[in-house]
Amino acid sequence: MEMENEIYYMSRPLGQALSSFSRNKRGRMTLFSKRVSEILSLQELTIETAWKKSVGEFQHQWILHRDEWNLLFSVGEMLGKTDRENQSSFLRMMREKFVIQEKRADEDRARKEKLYKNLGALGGLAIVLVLI
Amino acid sequence: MQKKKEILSPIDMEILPYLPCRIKYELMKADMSVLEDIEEIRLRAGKPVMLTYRGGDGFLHEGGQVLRKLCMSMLVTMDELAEVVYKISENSWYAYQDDINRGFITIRGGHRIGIIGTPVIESNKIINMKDISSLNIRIAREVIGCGEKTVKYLVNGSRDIYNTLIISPPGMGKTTLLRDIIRLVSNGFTTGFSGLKVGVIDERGELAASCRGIPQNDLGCRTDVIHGIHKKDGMEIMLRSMSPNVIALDELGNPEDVCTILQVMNAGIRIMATAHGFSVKTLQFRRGFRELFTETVFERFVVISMGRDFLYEIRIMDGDENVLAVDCQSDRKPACFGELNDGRVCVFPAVNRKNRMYKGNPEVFIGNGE
Repeated sequence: MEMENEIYYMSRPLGQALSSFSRNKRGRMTLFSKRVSEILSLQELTIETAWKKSVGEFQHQWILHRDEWNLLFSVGEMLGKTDRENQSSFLRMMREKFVIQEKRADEDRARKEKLYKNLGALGGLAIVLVLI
Repeated sequence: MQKKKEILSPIDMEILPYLPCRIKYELMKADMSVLEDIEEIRLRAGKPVMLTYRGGDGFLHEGGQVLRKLCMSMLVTMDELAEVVYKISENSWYAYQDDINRGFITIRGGHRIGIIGTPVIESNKIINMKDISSLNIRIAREVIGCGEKTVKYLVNGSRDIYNTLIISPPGMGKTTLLRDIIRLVSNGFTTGFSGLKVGVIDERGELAASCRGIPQNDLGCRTDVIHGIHKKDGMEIMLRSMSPNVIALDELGNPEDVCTILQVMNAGIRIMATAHGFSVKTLQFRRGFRELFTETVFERFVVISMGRDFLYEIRIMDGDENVLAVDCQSDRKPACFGELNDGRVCVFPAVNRKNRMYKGNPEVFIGNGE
């Protein structure tokens, strides 16, 4: 949302938008956006390469599903390449996709939680049966 | 023998980082004297890299040589053009969308990159530019001091200037001259002129060459710049908000601006402007100027022209077209030497531009033919 505002309303170049986002917000994403803007300002790289490099650096820190990593990589492929409206709708679309992924992960977690609970109960029952 | 590079030129720092690697590396091998004199770098899809320098042009060859003959191994691709625009726009096409639609982006250092492609049009308005096919990188060269000899004929006492129009064909330096005159009028100068508040309406970004709102050229300490806006709207905003003593504009000529100029003048503000043309007479009957001449708006004309016997001439005239002075970049006497009305003629010897500073030492002649 914040990035969308920076791009759509402020029309700030990506380097500035990312560093402003990392300054004004807290959380794990701020570290990531700070790293992208750092790579972008230090080296003569395109945003796509800088984004990929940063995602690569964060891959061992974040536990995400493969689909989520792919989604994160694809954000960098389109950033900055179109006009404001298209950038805005692209970011909205990506946000929706991440929300869907989040829901799926929640459902998965709930399903697996139940499964492991049942497994735990059944395992306990089996141990009791073995003992008697 | 090629001169070796010892120091980084503005091109090295401000232009080369934007170029595709292949072209950048070949240009880095070029002779320093060529790099210093480059006026334009032209990149066209499917064509070799062309450099304009010292009034001529040549093509970039492998090894950094610039020759007249075509170099078919240095053809520019569409992808490379898109890459340049992407780099110029700081990886953010959307942030420079309006500039791209207008056909140019001004980068740090005041250099202007002209962009041509296939415009995407919606409701008679360009909303995007696709398939970039040509780029023209124009190297900005601010010539500080070039207006020093001219400006003294444009001031009226120590706190006022005359309404001035600078006339010349394209590419003769009228914008460069106006830029330096703005700087001098704004800062004031040693002969008792204390400086005035100048409002610059920089519609095309050529005067201040603002990059992210910061003027890249020196326009003086009492100057306010509004850029990327139509002259008419810019003048109205400047008039309301900044109360300038002088308003400076580049490339006058739109009939819609006339009314606002007259309104500005009625508010007691002076005008300094440039116009495309060859002489005062060629402008007198042109639309957009007719009314201004009828109202005798301009009290000084500065006409820049190229004569047969000399490289470059600046003729300063009053509102009745009496010649007040002639500056000429030649050792010869100016062509109009015998025609002067009040006799004061200023002749510049061959121009000596070094480190962007004018170091000419003008000779003053009394116009009686001696």
